[in-house]
Amino acid sequence: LKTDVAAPVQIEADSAVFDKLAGTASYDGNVSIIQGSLEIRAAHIEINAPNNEIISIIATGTPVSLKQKMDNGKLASGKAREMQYLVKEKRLILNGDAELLQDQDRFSSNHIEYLTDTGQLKAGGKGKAGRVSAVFYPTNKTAE
Amino acid sequence: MKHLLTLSAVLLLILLITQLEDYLGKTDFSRLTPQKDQIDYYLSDFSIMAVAADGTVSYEMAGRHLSHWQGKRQSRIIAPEVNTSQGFKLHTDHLLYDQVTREITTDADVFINAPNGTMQSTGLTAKLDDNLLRFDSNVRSTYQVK
Repeated sequence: LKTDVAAPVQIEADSAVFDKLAGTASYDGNVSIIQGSLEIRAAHIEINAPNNEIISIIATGTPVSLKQKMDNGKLASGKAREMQYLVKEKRLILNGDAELLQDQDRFSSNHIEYLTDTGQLKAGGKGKAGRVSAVFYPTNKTAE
Repeated sequence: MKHLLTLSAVLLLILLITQLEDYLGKTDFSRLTPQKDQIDYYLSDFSIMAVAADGTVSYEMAGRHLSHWQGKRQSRIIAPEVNTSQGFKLHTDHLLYDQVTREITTDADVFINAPNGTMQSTGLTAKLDDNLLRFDSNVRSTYQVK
């Protein structure tokens, strides 16, 4: 939801390490990040923040799962073995059995990139394993 | 997040003040034959404030009790509460500071309030020379987005 970005961010994990010299904060074990309707679950999340400015967030898990309510009320979700969020580019990168779903529409590949501000989505391109599968359900108009 | 990443630097500053020999005068090690578990001084209901060059208080540590073991070169602080001028507040049941390894540890629940969020965990390990802070288990944190 649009309002998600202003909501407080709650992070829970089994343990966490802040490394000031490396400029990283890593959370380990049953990690969950919740911000408004956005929910991310992973085994490990590392936040890179050199000079205290967050530049990227990398989540790994088997799988990493993500879900968020869209403004149109539909539920978007995704999973992959690794998810990277590049803050400056607002780019979400899913690697390894990656899948994005919105309502019933499904997009899967070994590599998916999604620009969160423009909604642009790019998938595949990583050799044979990068095959892309997309399933879109026509929006069935109810009989007038 | 920004403030929390500076927390380990704050702990480094705090640890410099707990080397109380500087405030209470040097101990002549040659005359001492300390038993490993001999406490050489206590502090009760104490409060230590560090003053920055411009005269402002940069942080304050208060506690119900501090015991210092000369032989082991360890200080154990009961009910420590740390407040910094940056708006940090840390409190826990007890902290152990080891001057040899330059580590602060506790196995108790730790509560940290920062200007932009809160953090709590069970157990904390601060490695001061590495500027590294580890929250050992049950980590729950909330960050307010500006």
